[in-house]
Amino acid sequence: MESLSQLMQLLFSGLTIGSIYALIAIGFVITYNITGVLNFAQGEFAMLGALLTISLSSAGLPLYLAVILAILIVMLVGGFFERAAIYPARKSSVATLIIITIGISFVFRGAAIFIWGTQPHSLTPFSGNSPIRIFEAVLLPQSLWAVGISLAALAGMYYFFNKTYTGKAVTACVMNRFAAQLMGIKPEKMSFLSISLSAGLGALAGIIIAPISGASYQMGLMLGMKAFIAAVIGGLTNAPAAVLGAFLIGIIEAFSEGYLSSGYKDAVSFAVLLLVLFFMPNGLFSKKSGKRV
Amino acid sequence: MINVHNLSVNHGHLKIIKEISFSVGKGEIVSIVGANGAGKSTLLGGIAGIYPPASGSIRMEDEELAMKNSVAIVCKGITLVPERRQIFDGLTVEDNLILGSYHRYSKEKKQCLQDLEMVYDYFPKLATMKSRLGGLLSGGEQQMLAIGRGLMAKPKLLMLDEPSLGLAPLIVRDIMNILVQLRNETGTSILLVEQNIKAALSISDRGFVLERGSIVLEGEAESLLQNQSVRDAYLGTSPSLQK
Repeated sequence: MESLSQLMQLLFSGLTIGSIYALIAIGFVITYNITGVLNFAQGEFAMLGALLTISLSSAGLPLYLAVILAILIVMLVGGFFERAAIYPARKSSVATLIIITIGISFVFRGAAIFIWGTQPHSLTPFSGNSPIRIFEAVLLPQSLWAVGISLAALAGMYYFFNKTYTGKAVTACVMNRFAAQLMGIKPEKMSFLSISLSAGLGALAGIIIAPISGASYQMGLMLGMKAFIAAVIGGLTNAPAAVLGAFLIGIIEAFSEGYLSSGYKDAVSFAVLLLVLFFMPNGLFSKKSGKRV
Repeated sequence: MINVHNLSVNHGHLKIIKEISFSVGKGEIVSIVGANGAGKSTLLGGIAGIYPPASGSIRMEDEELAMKNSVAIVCKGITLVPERRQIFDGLTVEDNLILGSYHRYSKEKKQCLQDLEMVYDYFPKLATMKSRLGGLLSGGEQQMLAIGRGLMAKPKLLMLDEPSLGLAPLIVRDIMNILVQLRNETGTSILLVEQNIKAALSISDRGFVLERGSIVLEGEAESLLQNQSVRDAYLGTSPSLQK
């Protein structure tokens, strides 16, 4: 019975962290699909979201208002980042753009040290701290929030991209940028939209994880890296596959933490990334595709 | 309606289109014919704002369009149905069509939905496969979808780049007939680029022969079809071949 409860415990924590990675990974995929840029500042949006929420709620705002406001601010920051750093360099090589995003991530981290300092901050859980017991395992309410909000956000993304007119226009721009331009769809506008949307998703992820693992100026780096691994496992262009990749990485991490040692969990994730890149560089879920010409 | 004057278009350092002048009147069908590499697609791309012209002017209804980008050109009423159809293969037929009206959808949604029905009237086959993914259509159906998507932009001038490419002769004939019907019913001007010279000239009012970036011959479509040098060079009726 002992082992079953431990298994459940690790599974729950894997799903929780996986849902956080999923939100950030979707941001990677959306940005990459539309702009062709691997945005390594993606994780920093999570950090900004978390720390902003903490500041706003300690300034006296109700939690839900602080969350919404923080997400909106981070979306604005994301949009500004696109206009100021990506848009002027949009004709440069991919390597240049990636280096720009890495540089920007340093800027975000540096600014965060200025504003919030180096010490970690904490956010109160959304609904209390009394654990729920399932199958002998302990489940924190915040974990339910994490998984629930992530799934809702993913469903919202699915609806946006497949059912709304603007979402379809973005999708069309991904499928055939040339034809989209002929229809009057501006790729630059879509790029702005996609990066601020990804920033909002990242902020949401950071806010959800803050009550579980705390928030500090440097939280974005690891979150971003893990989400990047998840996106690569999913093949980088496929959002549902990136979500699966994120849950896979979350669960693998939780199990290596529980059964090996917590020191190994990052190493195991990166080992998974290398294995995927060696043996299935198009992602775990890629399939052969045919196209009519 | 549209006047192109001394238009030049470059690819890098190469001058592909060399000071071309021509016009297309309202409700006219004009063909640009020529061999591979003559610059036909570059010319259309230049008008559509894909390749910025190096010099010259493109005037439509007394407005200069030569330096505008592709989005502005669509809004002004010039739509290009590109070579190889370029449909959104992961989107449904209906989504493909409705996105064709992107530049005016937010302003006149109702009108766009009416126009959608009009497109289905022109291409009844598309109406039977509204929810099929564009990529799963046959070549002919994809071409109809591409033209329908172009119509959704409500163009005054519809430019088509090689609509017959890779299609069976019967389907080419269908598509050409629909273009004539479209012109007759809506008064849309059509600029048609083709390698299938016979099919193109047989529905056109006028035509141009493009060779290495310059117009070498122009005239009534009928007279071009009878022209001996056109017949020799493009229609395979050269006496030397028939020997």
